[in-house]
Amino acid sequence: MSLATLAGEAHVFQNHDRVASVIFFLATTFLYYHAGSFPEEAAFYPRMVIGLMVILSVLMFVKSWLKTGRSRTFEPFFIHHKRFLLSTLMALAYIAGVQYLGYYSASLVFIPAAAWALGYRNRFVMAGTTVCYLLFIFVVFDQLFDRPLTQEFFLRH
Amino acid sequence: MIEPFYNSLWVILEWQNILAMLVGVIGGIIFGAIPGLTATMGIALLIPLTFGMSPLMALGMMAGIHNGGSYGGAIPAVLLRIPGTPGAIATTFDGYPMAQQGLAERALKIACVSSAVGGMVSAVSLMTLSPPLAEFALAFGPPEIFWISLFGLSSIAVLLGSDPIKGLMASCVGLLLGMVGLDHVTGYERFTFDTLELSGGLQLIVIMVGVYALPPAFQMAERAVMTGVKSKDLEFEGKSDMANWPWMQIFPAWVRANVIGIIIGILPGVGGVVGAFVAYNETKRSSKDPESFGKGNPVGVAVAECANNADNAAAMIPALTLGVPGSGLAALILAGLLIHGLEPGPRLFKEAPDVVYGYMWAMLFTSASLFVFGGIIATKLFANILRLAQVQLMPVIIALTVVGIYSFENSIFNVYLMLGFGLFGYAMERLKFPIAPLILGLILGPKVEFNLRVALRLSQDDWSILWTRPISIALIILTALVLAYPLISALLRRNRERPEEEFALGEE
Repeated sequence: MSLATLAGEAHVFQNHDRVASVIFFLATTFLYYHAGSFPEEAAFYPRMVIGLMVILSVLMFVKSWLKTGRSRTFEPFFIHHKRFLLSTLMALAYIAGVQYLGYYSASLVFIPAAAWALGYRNRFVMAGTTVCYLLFIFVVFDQLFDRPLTQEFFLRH
Repeated sequence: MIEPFYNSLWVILEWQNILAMLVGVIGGIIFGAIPGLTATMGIALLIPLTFGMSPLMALGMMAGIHNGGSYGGAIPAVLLRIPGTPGAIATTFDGYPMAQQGLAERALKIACVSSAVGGMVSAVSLMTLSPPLAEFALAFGPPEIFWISLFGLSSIAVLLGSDPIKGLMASCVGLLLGMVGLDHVTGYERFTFDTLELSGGLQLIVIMVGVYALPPAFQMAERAVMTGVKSKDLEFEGKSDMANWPWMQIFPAWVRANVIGIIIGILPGVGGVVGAFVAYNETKRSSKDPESFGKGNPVGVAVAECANNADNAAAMIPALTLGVPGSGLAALILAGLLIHGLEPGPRLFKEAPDVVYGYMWAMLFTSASLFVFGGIIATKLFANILRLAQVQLMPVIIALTVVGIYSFENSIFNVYLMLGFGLFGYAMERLKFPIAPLILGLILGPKVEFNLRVALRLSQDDWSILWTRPISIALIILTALVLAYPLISALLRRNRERPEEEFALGEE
């Protein structure tokens, strides 16, 4: 890898760092004032840590500025933003499914559906993985350790 | 000192514990072998499975994952030049050229035996060094515990990642998250924003699984790799005959790798990756044939894997005795102890000797078990894991995190919270913030605050109690050195580069 490429990569992260440092600064400043509403003894330690975070966010901002100047190089934050969004939404829907349909039902749908949505088409492997996974969970969580999972919708009264 | 070792040996040899250790080793090898998954993630994912187990059974399984994962990383490193774990980077230097020369089987066998040797020697160092260190640490009062916690935190924050500011920020985020919930002295709710579920504080396991297990799953989805490795890349040649190994070079390399790996492992924040690199370079430097390194020298594979595994148990020495882990993985095992209701630190040796000494045996036995898994049938079997399509693994990982976190407290709120921390962990990873300091901050945060408050109460708010006791002074100096290290190394680097620049300019 050439030095120019390495320098380019450093620039990319410095740009993201600038955004991250501003977010950190705003969040920690808010929390610092929020901690001011605590009783003195309870506020002392949090304000000490948050104060340090405010300083670190300023240092991070200055460092990103000093290192790259006004570089406009900007690599996308996500590897593939559409697939990231898709997987996040699927994970959210799955958790809601676990809550309302039950763990086994939601997983029975989620595991093959998520792989399918991401472009995987081998139905035999998908079915095999789902069945093996559910069997594993049943043996370990239900039979072996007796850990309760969310109740299945068809078993509710 | 012998008695607790003897007693715990019989406990660890109960069949349930042996089974847990074997399952851990196999799980660890699988996690280590799949690029993108690590032993750290494996432990984060499997900790929820251990809720129903006894603490020793759980720790036995974690020890197995720890040692198995460190070796598992060598499989794709040798076969594909893709290190399965960061510690296996140095293994690719000679492992892959060996595979290209038709010696994949020999390279994997050397990697496996070297991993086992490194892990076993490291476990012996844990057994011999921990008890006296724990005795010494019993003399620590609140100011010393405050400083040793800060020292561990700063070391991991500064030395683990590439940017000390980001490391320190990650530590502070961990400290901050550790403050959420009721303040135990005043009873005041801090940072709960009137959310009832947060009044008890954030559960360590929820954050840990979120930040360690979910980001790789999201990245698998983003990369959407549909196929695994092709069969022809996993072909072996049947040349692992141990009699023909260059034993005269391998033995001294193992000795060097163990010494370096153990010393580096004990230092907080400097993990197996550094150990493997340092040991590899030292072996190459002292070799009569340094040119052969990087071109398929079996000694290169032996030293890299041995040093990588020599770090494993050694990193647990400060973790068990002082409550300050030497690596990110050690921090996770510490979290595992906390989840099972055990407070790491010198008192643990008195309060739960069977667990502590049993864990040391587990580290030794799981390392030794690698000899079995280094057999050709097992190696072929594990190599076939690389055929799995990662896109199929992503929903399985998410489903596993959900079941683990839900079953912890039967709380769906925790599951949503875990997803939130998963997204936060993803952002941290993309921005190159190290994750381990966050977890360590979360573990040590309450300890730091508690001991600071107790120290001040003992001294009636006289702050000088923090810097007047000899051990405290030593720890302050060490912490200051660690914090100043990036500045000092940058200055030294600049001084070293300046003459070269002047020389280059002079030539122009």
